[in-house]
Amino acid sequence: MNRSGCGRMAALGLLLCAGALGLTGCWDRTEVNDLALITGAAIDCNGNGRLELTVQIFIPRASGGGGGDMMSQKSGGGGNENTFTRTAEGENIADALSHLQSELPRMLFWGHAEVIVFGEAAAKDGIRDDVDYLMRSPHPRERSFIYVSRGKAKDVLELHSILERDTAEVLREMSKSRLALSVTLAQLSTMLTSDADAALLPMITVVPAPAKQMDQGISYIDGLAVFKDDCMIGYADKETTRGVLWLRDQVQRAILTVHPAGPRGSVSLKMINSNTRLIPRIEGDDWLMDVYIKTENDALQNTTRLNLVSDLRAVKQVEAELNDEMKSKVRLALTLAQQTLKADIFDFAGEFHRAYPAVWKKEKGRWEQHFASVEVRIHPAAKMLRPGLASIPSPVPDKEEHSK
Amino acid sequence: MSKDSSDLVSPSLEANLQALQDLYENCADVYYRRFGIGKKKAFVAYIDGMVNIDQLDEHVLAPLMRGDAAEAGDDAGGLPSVLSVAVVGTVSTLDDAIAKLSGGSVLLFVDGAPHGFALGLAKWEKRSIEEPAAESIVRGPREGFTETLSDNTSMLRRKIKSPAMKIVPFEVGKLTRTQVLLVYVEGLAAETLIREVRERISRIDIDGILESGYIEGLIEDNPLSPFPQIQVTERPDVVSAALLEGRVAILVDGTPFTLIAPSTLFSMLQSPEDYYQRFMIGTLIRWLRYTFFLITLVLPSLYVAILTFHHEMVPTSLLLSIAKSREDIPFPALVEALLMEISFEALREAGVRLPKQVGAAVSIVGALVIGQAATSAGLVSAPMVMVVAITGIASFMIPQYSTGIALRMLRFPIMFLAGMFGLLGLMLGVIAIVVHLCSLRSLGVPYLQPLAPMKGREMKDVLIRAPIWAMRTRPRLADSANRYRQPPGRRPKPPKGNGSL
Repeated sequence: MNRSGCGRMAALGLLLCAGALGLTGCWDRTEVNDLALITGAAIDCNGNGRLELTVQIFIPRASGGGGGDMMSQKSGGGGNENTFTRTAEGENIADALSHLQSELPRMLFWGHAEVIVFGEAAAKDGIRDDVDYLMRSPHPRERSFIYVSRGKAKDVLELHSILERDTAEVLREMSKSRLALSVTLAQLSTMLTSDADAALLPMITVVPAPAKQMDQGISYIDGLAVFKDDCMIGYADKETTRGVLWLRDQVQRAILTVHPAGPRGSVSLKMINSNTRLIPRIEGDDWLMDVYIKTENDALQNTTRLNLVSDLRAVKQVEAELNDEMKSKVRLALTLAQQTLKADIFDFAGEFHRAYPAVWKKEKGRWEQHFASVEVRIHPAAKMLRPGLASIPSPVPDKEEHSK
Repeated sequence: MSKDSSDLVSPSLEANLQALQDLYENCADVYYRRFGIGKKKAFVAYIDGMVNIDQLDEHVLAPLMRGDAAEAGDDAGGLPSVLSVAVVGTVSTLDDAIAKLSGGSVLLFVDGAPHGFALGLAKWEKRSIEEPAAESIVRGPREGFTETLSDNTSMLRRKIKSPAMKIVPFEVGKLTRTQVLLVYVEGLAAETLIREVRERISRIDIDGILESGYIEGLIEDNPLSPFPQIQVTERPDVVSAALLEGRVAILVDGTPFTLIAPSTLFSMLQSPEDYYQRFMIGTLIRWLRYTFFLITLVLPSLYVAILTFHHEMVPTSLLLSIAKSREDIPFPALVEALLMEISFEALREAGVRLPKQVGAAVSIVGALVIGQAATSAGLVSAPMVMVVAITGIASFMIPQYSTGIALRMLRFPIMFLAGMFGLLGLMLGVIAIVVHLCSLRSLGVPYLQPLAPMKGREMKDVLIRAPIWAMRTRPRLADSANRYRQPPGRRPKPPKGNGSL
């Protein structure tokens, strides 16, 4: 009897607890119909110290007729668009957002904003304050991709895409393809707080549409924006980018073309694997960095007379050329970082910190001087694994073979 | 005036006849036939439609009336030797007489005899053995139990020929006097289990048992649970398999549905075909079933919860297309889900009741209404139709119908929780169900055994369906001394050498 009494009390207690749950009601219930889904955001500064936030919002109607123009802000609607953009000014992101929200009938929803673009001017002013909001607020994704655009970031979002759903999706797909550097919000905030005090973001170039064809403008990733502290101080072009990526061990896929000395033509190789190791050393006052880059490649196209199938010397020659190519690219990147910009975008600081924690503690304050003088030794080791074909496709004239 | 039914049969023919006629007053289906054996008077009584009249004429009335039994008739005890009837019992009380009569026997009373005879000439119209409609399989025996108890026991006896299979009769129901049989294999089923089942059946004191569902409701451990704790089947092979695992079966006269106890949640999720097909496919299908078990329970709730609270959890493209399809829907997701689920349940229930001739037409119209029309009218979104359809199909994947309907019912409270508290509510609901399942027992065996309490070795029949040669031990549903089904090392292999003969 006593036991069942206990059970009854427990059941009553549970019931009361369940009742307490009911008191909260459906307070944060939001239907999808009540949301304005942000697909991408752009942050610009408008010259007089105020921030300009542009958001690209998904139009849930299947073939809705663009965005409304009734607001004072310019709307990027038109045609059979999936999205429209809205802009608002404010002191910071939170402020601009509140203005934006007051102009929209639906709740702004950041959960699917997968792309955030900084305008060049905003990036040069510093992005720490903006990142603060993006990291602090629970709504934006930490996995959204961050970019810097040449010119105004707003222009990127106002482009129309023919291939993808919207321009934000275009950028996201490009980042996902791993051909270029991709940086997420979480990675950016790590970079901003790292020893190196430098950060990298992919740079977008916008080719605006010709006057009458609204949907012909495109944007593409082209180089890197280099940040020191939290301000953009320069950028790396496409060639240099490859070198930067090699030093950061972030090359995933690449196609390299080399021109072996001697025969006419070129050999293109598809890199299928690349692995970079940084080994820091301090010898007396000299700070050294050994960079080992190992890559594996498949031949894609061969317009030379080299026989890549059975001639080991030819293979060695191509590999040597590859090594030179890698070396020169990396040198390019080093020159930019060490001499021109003086920004440790490769996180050498972290490597030295890990390898020589005691020395690092003392020398931390003078890292800038040290970085410029770090002697980097590059040890590329390219391997050509497969010639791509089992036989020699193009008939090689006999006399040329003999003349060699 | 009226006799107590436990009275003894009197030697006087007239008294007996009178007693029977009193008992069966206003029973037009009871027939009496007076006749003479030599000089002795006699009568037979039987119930119309339950007796083979031809045999009664040929093997009882003819030899007795022709007079060659006259001298045998002098000594009533010698009477059976004249009758070419296999089953001849004696009837010494009126109680006996009633039982035998309503069982289809012919009662024979001879003047001066100390007791009457019950002649087993029972024969009534019955359904032939057919393939069970609710449990059809691709490979396996196609016979199913019928409403006739003797047919059912014969099917079992043909499968388990050992005399160790015991069949214990009970009579339950004061008015229906339904015959209930407890079947078990001696030495496999635990003594304690048999004693418990006997006790529980004996406890029943009700006017009538019309189906095994009555028995189930009267002997199960937790009558307030939505989950069935006793397995129901109309397949003799399923019952035999259960008997070999040391379970007991309860057969009830008048229904093909047989009870198997103790049974666990996992035995409810097993189909006999798992064992007849190759073990790999058996394992795979089992997992498919587990997956859809969960889908039945939570898919609509998950959809509602994510769509009302956790928009960031859906992949972007998916959310965008859901947003598109939901744009014109006037209802919140919860209402939409309830609308669809309830109309699906209605359609299902109607489908069962519909006469066969209109069934097809109505189900087509119904499918159109809850699918096509509702979507194009903008009342529900297409993804919701899909969710409901998948859930509906999933619930029918569970072999045990009663488990399936339990899940279908529990889906609604979880849907409410999900609509109110999102995934938190969903998890609360699921946790409550799991806790409840853990507390359930089926005749003393934990309902989630062998998962909780964990019995590692029995996972061979839960997580996977081990090959037959690897299933050496019986499940420990009730402890049994006889644990092994086969000696070790019975894995088949080619002959030694290069493998050819």
